[in-house]
Amino acid sequence: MKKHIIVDGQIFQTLARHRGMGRYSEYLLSSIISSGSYESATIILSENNRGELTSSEEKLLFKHANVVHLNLFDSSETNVLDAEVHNKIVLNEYIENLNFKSIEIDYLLLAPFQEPLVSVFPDEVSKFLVFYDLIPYLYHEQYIHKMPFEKYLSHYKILFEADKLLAISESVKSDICLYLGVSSQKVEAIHGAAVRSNTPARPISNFDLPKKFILMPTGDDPRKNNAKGVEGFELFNSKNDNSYQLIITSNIHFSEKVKLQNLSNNLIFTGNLDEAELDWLYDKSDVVMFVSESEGLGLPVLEAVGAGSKVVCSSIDVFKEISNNAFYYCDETNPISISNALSSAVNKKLSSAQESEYKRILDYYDWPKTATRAIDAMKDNQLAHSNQKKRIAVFTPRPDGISAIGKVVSETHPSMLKYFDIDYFYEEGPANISTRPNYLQYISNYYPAANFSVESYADYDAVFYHIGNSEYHLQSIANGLYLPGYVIVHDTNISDAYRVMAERDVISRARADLESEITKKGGYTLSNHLATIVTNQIGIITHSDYALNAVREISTEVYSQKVNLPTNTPTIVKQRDYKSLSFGLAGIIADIKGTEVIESLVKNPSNNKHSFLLFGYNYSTDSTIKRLNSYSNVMVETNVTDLDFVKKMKKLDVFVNYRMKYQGETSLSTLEAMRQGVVVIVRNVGWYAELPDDAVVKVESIEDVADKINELVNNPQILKDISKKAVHYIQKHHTHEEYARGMLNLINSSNKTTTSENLKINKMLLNHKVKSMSDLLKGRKL
Amino acid sequence: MRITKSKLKEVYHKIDNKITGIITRLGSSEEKIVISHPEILVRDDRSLENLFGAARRYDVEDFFVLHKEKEKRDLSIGYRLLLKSYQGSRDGAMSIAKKIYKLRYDR
Repeated sequence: MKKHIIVDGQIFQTLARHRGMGRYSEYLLSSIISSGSYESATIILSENNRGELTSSEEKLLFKHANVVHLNLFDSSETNVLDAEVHNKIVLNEYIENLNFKSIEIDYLLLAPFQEPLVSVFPDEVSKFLVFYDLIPYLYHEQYIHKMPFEKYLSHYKILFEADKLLAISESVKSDICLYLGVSSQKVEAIHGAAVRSNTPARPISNFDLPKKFILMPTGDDPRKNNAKGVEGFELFNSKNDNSYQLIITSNIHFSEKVKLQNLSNNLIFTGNLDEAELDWLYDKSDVVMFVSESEGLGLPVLEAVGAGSKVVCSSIDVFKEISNNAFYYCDETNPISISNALSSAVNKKLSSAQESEYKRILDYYDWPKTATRAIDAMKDNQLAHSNQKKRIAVFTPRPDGISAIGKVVSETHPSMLKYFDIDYFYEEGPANISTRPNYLQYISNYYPAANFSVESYADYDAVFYHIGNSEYHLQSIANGLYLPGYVIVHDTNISDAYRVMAERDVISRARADLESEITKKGGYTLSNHLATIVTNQIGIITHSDYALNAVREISTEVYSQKVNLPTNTPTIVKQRDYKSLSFGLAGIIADIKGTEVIESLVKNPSNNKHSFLLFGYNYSTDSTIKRLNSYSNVMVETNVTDLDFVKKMKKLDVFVNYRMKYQGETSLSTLEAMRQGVVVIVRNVGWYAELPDDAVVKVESIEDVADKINELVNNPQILKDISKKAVHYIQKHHTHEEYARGMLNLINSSNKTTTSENLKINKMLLNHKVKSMSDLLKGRKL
Repeated sequence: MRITKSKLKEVYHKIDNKITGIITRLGSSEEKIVISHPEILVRDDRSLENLFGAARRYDVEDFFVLHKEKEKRDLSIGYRLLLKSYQGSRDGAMSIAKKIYKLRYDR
């Protein structure tokens, strides 16, 4: 039986319909409708038309679909939250009054992030959205002041509500999985195709086309990398007697224009062109240059291919995904590389191999086929919904801080939504650094941890405390010490957290000393300062057998289980040839975390040919960083954003993570290196020792690191094997889905088996029977 | 010099914080509470059980009993009314200013 498709078409009522996303939507929609795969197609528009779509245009655009105008609000007049609530009610009413059931409906959002639209899903339908790119999220430092960023992040709610995301490229899919923690099963890459004008190509009026020129279709956006492109062009042009002109399309801001003109006197700015004029320029171009840092799909590349022009483009995943060998690739950060690629491209015809690759590209990147991929993805939607979700509170470090735990919590959110309704209680961190945008605060209930109390406890089926050894966990520890819940142990030594609690007057110095005495008296050899909080819980999660043993050394009565720390694997993994190696140390750069090891390697003259990269958050002294930077083959970059971190990690071949002092922790950086196929050298201790022998390289001492490196340098096949197994291991054993299920299992299992004392207090708290101090101490041996 | 929207916002919040801060301070009847913690009381033999017991008693008293008391800092009724009326007129004025700005620039 054929289903019905209902499409939110509000983007066609905005100016954006004339731009990339609007044109993509138009072509995709028209191809879906004309495929005949649906019983009926309905386009939802807003009654509150903004004047960008006349009724005659509307009739022409949607001639094969039903059009319905509803009273939908946008965020220009109403705040996002109110508009969301209103629009959902309106859509639900509309769906209820239809002649067919909601389960027969595929509901598609074409432009979920378009401002000021507030697109929402009605309930009970199958929910899909087209996802164009994660660029504002990844380049948040540049975009945060350029767009209504809070509204942008508020829209992430529908991203996680959707049953399936239709990404416009495999690279976008990979980004969604990698940075947002969305399961790859929930995302399908449907790709797209070139957008050509409906009318024949038309010359630009009053425009003299130079004899020799390079076309640079671009935009006024830092990620378009215009300055480097112009520098590269200028280098190339100087080798060619300045005989070329660079034609730059789009409206470029005056100040940016001046900046570019300072780099070259051979620029022609066309301003915004209509599609027919742009088609004409592509048709006349011999070489098209597109050296953007990041793209969702790269329509200009496809348009150049359609016009049969040669393409000089950056060597980024999204372009490599279109073709690995059809274009002239360059390092977009290096003008010399751009210039060399231009030199290789000009005065040459497309080779026969390139021509056949162009044919393949045009065959695949085609609108009817894109529509088929989208329809198949929507048909394939088998995701089950859990009706009985548990309501939980999660204590977490701020997701946008430097704590890896905050990042894990944020990235696990999409998988957790399947089983839980979640309220987050966040703790502020030590430094005011924003490593990633914090969308949790806009899409879920998000409160300061200090606001939690006995009264709030009763609102939840379970309270989870993420416990680690830093100032990000002070409230979590404080609450965990008197309100029994579920502790997730990230470090087995939390003595520093206790020290800071005492310093900040959260507890008295005597209380911190008492915890130290308990550790000694209990003879706990695998943990430090962990005993009281462990014994006060209903259940415990650890990320390693080492930590599990530490917990069981304290108490076997409290239910405890191991769940692997989750991280998502990119769907595009870098292929490495291991001809010259790049070594790295990442995460928190601190003296206990192996900077000495890297330094000893750098000092060895036989390693002069290799490069060393240290990146992450700096906890070392300035003098350590200065000293490391003084080596010619060492690069140190501190306080990097998530995007930089991932990019740099990807560049590595070998990652050295030798912990001088092990404190029962798991290392997210290690997992993040493994997921990218980087070979990790670890010390054979604690959690590291539990990693599979064939997925990492284990060493017993610092001296072994150099020996192992020499062995690896001479055996690229070993590196290849380990790299492959590391990716496979992470894909299989460290998923967010498993983590969320582990948390659910913890609640279910510990409620039956854990210590009766803590369960009794839990019941009293849930039934609002705790009125005094003695109620909380009842049944305890004091 | 061009005054940017963000600069205006910054000035607005600065003034707003100042006004609400003054009203809250003047209206708070209680003295600033000096944070104190309970004493640790361990029975003589300092066995592990007794140490746990002392820790538990301390934690409950510090975080449940004392923490609750520290939270109480209510405004007296007069100042609460003053704060509410300030907030009401502030929001009203802001919404009119936004509408004027929209009419003037966002056509």
